[in-house]
Amino acid sequence: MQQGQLLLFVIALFPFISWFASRFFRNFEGLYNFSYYLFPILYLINLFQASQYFNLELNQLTILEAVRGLSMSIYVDKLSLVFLYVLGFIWLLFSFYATRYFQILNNKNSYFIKEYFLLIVSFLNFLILSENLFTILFFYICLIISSHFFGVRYLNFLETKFTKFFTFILYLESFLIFIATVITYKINGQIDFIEKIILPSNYDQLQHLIIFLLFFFGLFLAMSVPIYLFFKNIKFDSLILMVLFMVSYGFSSCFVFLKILNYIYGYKGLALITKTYGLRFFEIIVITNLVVSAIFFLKNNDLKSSSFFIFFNQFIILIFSIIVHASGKFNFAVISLIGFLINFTILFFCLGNFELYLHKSPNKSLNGIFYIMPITSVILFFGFLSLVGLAPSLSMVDKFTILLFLIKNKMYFSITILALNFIFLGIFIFKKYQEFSQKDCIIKSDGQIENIAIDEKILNLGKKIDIDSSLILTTLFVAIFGFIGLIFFSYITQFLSFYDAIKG
Amino acid sequence: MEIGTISNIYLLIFLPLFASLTCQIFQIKNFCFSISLLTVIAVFGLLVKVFPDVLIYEKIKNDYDLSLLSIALEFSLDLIGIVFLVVIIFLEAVILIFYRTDILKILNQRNQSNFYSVFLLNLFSLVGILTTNNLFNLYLFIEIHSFSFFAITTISHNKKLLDISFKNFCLSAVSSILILICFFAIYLTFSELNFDKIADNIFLMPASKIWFILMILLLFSLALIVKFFPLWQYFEKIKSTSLVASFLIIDAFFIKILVGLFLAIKFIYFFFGYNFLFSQYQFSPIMILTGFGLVLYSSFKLFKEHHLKLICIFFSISNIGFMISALGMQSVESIQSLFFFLINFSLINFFIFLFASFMKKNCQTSSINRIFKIAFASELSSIPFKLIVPFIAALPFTFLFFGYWYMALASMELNLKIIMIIGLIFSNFVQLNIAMKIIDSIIKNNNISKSNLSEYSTSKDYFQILCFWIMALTVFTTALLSESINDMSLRFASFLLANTI
Repeated sequence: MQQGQLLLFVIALFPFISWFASRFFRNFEGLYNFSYYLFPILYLINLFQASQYFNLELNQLTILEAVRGLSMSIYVDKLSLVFLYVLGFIWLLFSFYATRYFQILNNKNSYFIKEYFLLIVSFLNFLILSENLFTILFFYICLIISSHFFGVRYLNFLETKFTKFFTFILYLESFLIFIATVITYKINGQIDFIEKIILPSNYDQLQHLIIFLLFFFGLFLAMSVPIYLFFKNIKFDSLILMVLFMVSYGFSSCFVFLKILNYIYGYKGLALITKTYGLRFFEIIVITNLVVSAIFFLKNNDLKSSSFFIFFNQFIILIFSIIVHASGKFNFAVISLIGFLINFTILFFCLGNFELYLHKSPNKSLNGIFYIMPITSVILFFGFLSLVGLAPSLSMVDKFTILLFLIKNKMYFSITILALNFIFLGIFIFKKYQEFSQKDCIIKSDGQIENIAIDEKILNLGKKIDIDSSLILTTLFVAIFGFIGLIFFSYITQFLSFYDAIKG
Repeated sequence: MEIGTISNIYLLIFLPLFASLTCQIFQIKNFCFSISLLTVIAVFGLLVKVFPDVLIYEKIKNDYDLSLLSIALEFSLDLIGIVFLVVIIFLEAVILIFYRTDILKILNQRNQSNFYSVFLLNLFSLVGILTTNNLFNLYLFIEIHSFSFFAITTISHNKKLLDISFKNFCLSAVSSILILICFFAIYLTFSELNFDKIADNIFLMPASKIWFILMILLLFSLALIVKFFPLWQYFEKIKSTSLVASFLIIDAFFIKILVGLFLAIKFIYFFFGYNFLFSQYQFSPIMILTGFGLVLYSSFKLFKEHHLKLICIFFSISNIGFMISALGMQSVESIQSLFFFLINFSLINFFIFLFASFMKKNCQTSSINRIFKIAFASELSSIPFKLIVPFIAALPFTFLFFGYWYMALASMELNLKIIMIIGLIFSNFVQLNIAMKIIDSIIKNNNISKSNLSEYSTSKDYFQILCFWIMALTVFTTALLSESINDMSLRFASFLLANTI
């Protein structure tokens, strides 16, 4: 085993080791928390060190091989490296935030959700490092099973019901990926990403399209049919939304999609498909989902439920952005995913702060929260603005370029829907902030309205959570990164520049 | 051919017979069990020793040509035979250990000796069926197998079970007559009983007499189904807690089916042959549709099934369905998938059935929702089962996954074969669904207290726990050797397709 391979192996196993360690240290709280902070830091350091080697040495490792072309192998390329950093970053933030969050919440199940997150990170880490479709399939199914496991073990009845339904759709997804993998293997005899473009562009275009659709539905069937609407009363906690949907589902499926677009088709192959068959089909899926989710987040008064629908609303935009950009501006597709992850980390952390307040306080309403937790409210406001696509946030890139693409292709109906979606999101933000800044009041006998002063205890509690260093610093850090993310844009573009060379 | 290899094969054929006689003669406490176990292990060891030679030569045979009937002195061990033999002997060894305590409890010394003696006689017949190259000998061994099977049922005092077994015996007798008619007809036509010589002469048969082969095919298929696939006969006793019922069901559902599959493959490829079945007569669509039907039937049944024993049986039916389709597809990939379904059937389904029997014995239920009781009460026995769950869920690198993989590869053609993709979807989904149900039940482990385990039997049967660990270790070792197993599947497929007549 060469040094590069050894480092790769260590990186692949690192989150698993941390998961085992956390289970082992469960009875020693101090050690547990310390290791929970330490591991992501070590992971990032290790990754940084290892990335120096990956450019020089052999960066591929076969763990188990069944037949030639069918193996469990890992390797690192630049795309994987970018997302390994993103994963490490999310892991670090989550560790700091969740530890403090659960300390304040005093939740007896905190160990479980924290360990589940580590397990998800472990599988996702392997998924990012996967060298072929076979390995991807394996870890994708592992993610599905662990999600199911988590849903059954941790969530309440309604949420469990939804999670079971969701994982049921995900099983179907995994089977579609399986079929797509088999077809790819059958027609080309290999499914390794290391061999660069797997399906040459001079192949039968219809065959390409069928495989593309199988992969698409294999990753986004749960998104394409708005199944989440069947469960209107779902109120997931923000950290669960983050772990279960953002990291486990959103991150993994979008990354795999990027990898498939890049290595199975290549830019030229994908461009040919879009040129031959157009984007009408995907446009319909996107528009339907946008409209439906927008109606639901606007109609819903509860912030938790609305965030659930906003998540799906933005997720569908992300998928469209990836499809639109992957055949021409791959770096934009990568940035879209990073922007999405950052935005929702901000959103879920801020919501987490509010949840803590609501849990501890006798006041169970968010009216006037702006005065009680001003910092969190402001950060959340910027988070929302970032979702709309306000400059200079990272999300601006994909929203702006999608609009440009639609205008260029004269897809006016889609432009209208997208614009309406932004307006709906704006209305939602306006409504929420109106609620946040609304103080409780009484109407006097002479008809005058007088605001009631906020109870001192509640105010203190809110302030305490609002300025809690672990909570607010992590949130602020992500917010700053998300909002000045464009500075890194050129860096990431430059880093990924070699992809232009294989456009064909 | 080395004389050592040939002697080893003779030894593995006759060893169970001598051991059976020894058990009858020396009726000493624990002696019969030890002799039986040692014999099974010795046979398994001999098989492992002979295995590399079979891999090299593909077929090892010997005949002293003493007479036309050369009883048991004529054998032919090929790649297919040895694969089936290894699997069957392994399962017999596990069965022997698994039921050790129960037999000790239920039977007196005299009956124990009889039981082990009959068990070894049964083993002798199995080895004979899988190694013989002579139709007369084959018939003889099939009959010994039927008698020994029925002899075991007589130990039971359960009237219902005896009724079922008697029915089974009658049907078995009818199928024996059919087999006898077939073999007699073959002898009258070819004046030969040697399998290879018949296969050589079958080309010389005039085209006008082809209906004759068709008749043999029909009668033999009927006999094979009735005799070796008696799934429906024991269905009503499947939930029984009786030791004998459990033993017989395991024998009927796993060992008999494996023998039936072996004979089906042997006759399809080396007697009727590719030309007759798939070129002259289009049996391929019939086999694919039959397999597809079985897969769909079992998938629908599995969807709402909670009883672990029945789940296991429907899994087996689904596997058999895939194997039948694979035989009908006639491609390297399809035969490779058959190989993996065969391993899955023999190891995973068998293990599930053993675990279900264990549950039934200890918890009075084998409902999938009650697995948490075992998980809570005995970690030692539940861990192997937990380890098997990925194999039920058909995760990559498991036998079932490779079965699906090769089946999907074989089905990717624009003809009838593509319907197997639908079968794969259903089967894959129910497998995952059952795996999830098992996980759900195991998770309940954390939410229960000891009071919920009132009906759990606290006595531990270490023989049974040992069996679980042996099975789990075998499964994982085989899965880790996936490269060799894949190579083996390719050899298996190439051998069948290259040597078919």
